[in-house]
Amino acid sequence: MSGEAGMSSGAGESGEGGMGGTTGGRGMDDVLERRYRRLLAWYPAQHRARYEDEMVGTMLAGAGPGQRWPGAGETVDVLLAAVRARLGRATSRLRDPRWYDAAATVAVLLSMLLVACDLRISVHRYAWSRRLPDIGGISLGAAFPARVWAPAVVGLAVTVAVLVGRRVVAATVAWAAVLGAVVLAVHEPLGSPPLGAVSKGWLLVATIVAAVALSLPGTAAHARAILGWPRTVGFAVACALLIGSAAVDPLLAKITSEGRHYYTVELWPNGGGYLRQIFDGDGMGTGLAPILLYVAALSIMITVVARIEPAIRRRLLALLAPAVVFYALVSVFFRSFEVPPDFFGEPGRPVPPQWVVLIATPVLTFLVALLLVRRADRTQRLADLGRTALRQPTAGDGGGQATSER
Amino acid sequence: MTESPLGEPAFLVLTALAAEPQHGYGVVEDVLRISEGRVRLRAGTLYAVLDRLCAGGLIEVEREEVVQSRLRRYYRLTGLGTERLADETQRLRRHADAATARLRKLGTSFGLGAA
Repeated sequence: MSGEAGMSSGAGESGEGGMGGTTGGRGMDDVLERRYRRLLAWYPAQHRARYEDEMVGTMLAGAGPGQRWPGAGETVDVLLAAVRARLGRATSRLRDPRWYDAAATVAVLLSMLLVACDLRISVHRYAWSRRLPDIGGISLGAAFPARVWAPAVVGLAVTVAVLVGRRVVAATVAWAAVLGAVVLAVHEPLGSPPLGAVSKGWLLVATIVAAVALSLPGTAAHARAILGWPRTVGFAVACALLIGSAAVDPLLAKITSEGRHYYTVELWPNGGGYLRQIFDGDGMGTGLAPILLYVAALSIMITVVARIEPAIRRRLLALLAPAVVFYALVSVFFRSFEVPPDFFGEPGRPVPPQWVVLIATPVLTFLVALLLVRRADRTQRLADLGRTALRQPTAGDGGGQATSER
Repeated sequence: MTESPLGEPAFLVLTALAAEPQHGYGVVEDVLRISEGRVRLRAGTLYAVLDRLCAGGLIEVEREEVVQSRLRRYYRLTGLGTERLADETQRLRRHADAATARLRKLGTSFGLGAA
């Protein structure tokens, strides 16, 4: 057995008296007691409610004559124990089976959504490369490297592995995808479209969430029980619509060649076209048909999620929140890393404080989401208690009657 | 499933409570006696151990008293706690016996303190 912090050599530290046995009088005790209580404030409220008075009594009993301040050793010991108690509470909350259920559901839904997002990019580029095979000597086919389609292939492998219940394989591939994305982000010029570390960062955040979710036990079985096949298929159809929408514009657009470097691309029936140099089709405007397909896909996805049990649904949303907020953050405040302000110039590079914001945002978002989940759980529990109390017969009416009837 | 070994503070707290139900400071003093003055549990460690042992069903609150307007809670060993302490004692004894045998052998081979 190893020794632990919080145990010390007994010599010289033992209090002489029993409980409250300091010799400095009651006034001295009060000062010391106040200081002990201030120290114990570091514990979670639940721990304080149960042990604070008792601990104060024990610490005062162990205090030396005339002692006015908590000793350095016991201060460190109490602080460490308080931190451990807080961490223990946090991790025990995350050990709630509903988190496992939510993680299982996220693993399935997110792996499908990620593969749809990755495939969208590939389909979008490929379809444009067929419509605009060559611009000013630049072949769009050449702008379709492995880095574009490889994530989709990896995502597909993860999704298939999840759906057939090979969780460990899926988790391993997902973590490999995270590693690959990080390596790519480091080796690529930061913020360079379209694979920029910043603009596509939400995909990395979502992949990390999926990998974590896949690493938890029981994923496939939990998800099957929660989602069932109809909702899983519904979500898959929504993903297929998302992927398909990427090919609609290249197929329907009215394209007119204007010289060596320029095309007029009309995506909307009456005008709505614009002139621009196209390198890869990414970042093109969107026509009406893809928007309708987006809306349909989104509606199906929202319906699938809305039908999940509330306690699991809010945890699922908490797990998705970091990626969603990251996407919103980049779209609103870091747009210049995707599309440079003067369009043809170099995209911006984040400075260190911006990196801090980008990295801290998903973490803080998840912590805030945890608090919101906790609050919603408490509200639901109170509502359930209220409903139960209303259903129970009060003494003297239904209950009494039932008793007398028996 | 094999249970993880008890830490030294938990073992000493269970040993203290094996004699009789005791309150927090009583446990501190008893542990000091058991360890011959070597181990003095501080409040943070003591109550973390008591909380864990309570949660694991190895000890329970026997009674509560208010002494000098402060709460004093007495803890006692449960049946499960007694069993666990016995198992842990056996485990430690086996380890101690193995260590003793090897040290004796070591002592013999070096001609030091052979039995």
